[in-house]
Amino acid sequence: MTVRTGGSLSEDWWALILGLAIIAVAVGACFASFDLNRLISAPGVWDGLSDGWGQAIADLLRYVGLGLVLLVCLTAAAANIGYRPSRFAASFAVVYVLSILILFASAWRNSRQMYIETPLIALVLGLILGNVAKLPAWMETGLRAEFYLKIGVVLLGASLPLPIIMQAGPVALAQASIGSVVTFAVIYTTARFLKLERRLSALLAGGGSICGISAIVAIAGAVRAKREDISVATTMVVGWALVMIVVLPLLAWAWWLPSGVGGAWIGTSEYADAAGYAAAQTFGRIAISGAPEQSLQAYTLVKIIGRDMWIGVWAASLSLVSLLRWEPSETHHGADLSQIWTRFPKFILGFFLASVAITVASKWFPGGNFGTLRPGLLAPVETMRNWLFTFSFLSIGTSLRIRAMAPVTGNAFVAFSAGVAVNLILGYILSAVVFGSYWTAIGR
Amino acid sequence: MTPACARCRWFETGRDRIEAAVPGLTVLGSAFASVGGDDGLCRVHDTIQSPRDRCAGFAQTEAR
Repeated sequence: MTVRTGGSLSEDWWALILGLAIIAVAVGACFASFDLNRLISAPGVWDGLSDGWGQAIADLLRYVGLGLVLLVCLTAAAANIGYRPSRFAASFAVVYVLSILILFASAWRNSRQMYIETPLIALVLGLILGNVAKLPAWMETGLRAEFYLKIGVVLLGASLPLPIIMQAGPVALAQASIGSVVTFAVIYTTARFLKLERRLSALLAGGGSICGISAIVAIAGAVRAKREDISVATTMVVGWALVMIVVLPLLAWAWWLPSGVGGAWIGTSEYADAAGYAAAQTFGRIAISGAPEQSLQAYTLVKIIGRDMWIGVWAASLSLVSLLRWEPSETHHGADLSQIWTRFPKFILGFFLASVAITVASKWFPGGNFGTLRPGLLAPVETMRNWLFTFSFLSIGTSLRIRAMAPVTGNAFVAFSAGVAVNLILGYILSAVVFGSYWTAIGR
Repeated sequence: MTPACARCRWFETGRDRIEAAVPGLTVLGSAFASVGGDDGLCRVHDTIQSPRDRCAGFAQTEAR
């Protein structure tokens, strides 16, 4: 395991541990015939203030209990990762209380009817808080969008049985690889044509084709990127990722794409895991055909298996290019293939292990299959997933300080946007035409 | 050959300081993630680099 400055285990390992712990508790409770839904709950649909208030009072103790368990577990992990535990605990308490309000707002019948989803409410509320109100410095510590998201991704593995992953994996990998390589080439070539420096070009290309900020972080060290270039690439990814949360589901809906096809397109064309999750979840609800979960399943397969897993390979390859072509001097350390494992997003192992755990549990369970398991075992896991993604979206909105983002030059914008355009078209062709029948039937 | 950046006083490895140095990094990412490896921030060149890199501006870390 990678030993990190400031903590003994990385954020990824803790996401894996906590995610699998939640699944272990769910499996244990299921085998013990204990209904975990009594402890892990989220607001149900309500209509009218008296209905909503009554539900809130009835579930108050559950929310307090769940909040305390999360507070203790997440703060313990946070302390080990290297965040300041007291600040994290105080900040997380605020995030949790706000998330209760967000989940209540999205459970209002009118919100449901207008497709005003949890991610949208959380993002907007966070943006207002982060950009209008002056938050205390300690509040920053608990705004860990990536940390919450990674635990949520591990829990997503529980919703994908191993046979689906085994069956869909090669298609997802083929589609994502084509999308990543072509988009990387388009952004990098355009950037170089526009006379942008090659390291900035590589950061823009990686951010727009592989996995957003995570790719920028991985590539930055591999090519010795300047801090100001990292800031520019970060601004581009954040800006386009947030725009695509709204644009991609609307485009997929306008073109009548089935749920699974739209999810695969989002998995190919979104930049960040959280943004893609929000888009795929929204599209699953508004898709004209297909089951809602197909969108999320297809998105997860393309994004996680097809793109995120290979970040270490990209970083090692760019490190080699940097060493051999850009700066063949003694100042650069030699090619280091161990980077492939060092930079591997370890929480993805948790995603696979979660899938294995649920698949095995379903075999052992008398007469068990995914349909019968859903209420007792999968429902509390999915509820926890919704909580964690809500924390993540609220953190994204709150930590995005628009005025603090680095300004972007016209050339950087043009180069990145060229990749966005090509990626959108290519993602559509791959998802709807080349592999269309496959994604339409995903999970059935 | 000069020693590697890992032993240089200008090589900043604190994850929170790297996050503070790059606006927007935590919005959709994290410096505490595995993808960052053991990279740090060079306060001389203002670059992110590996602790195994080297340069002529090396300065020995002060004894603690």
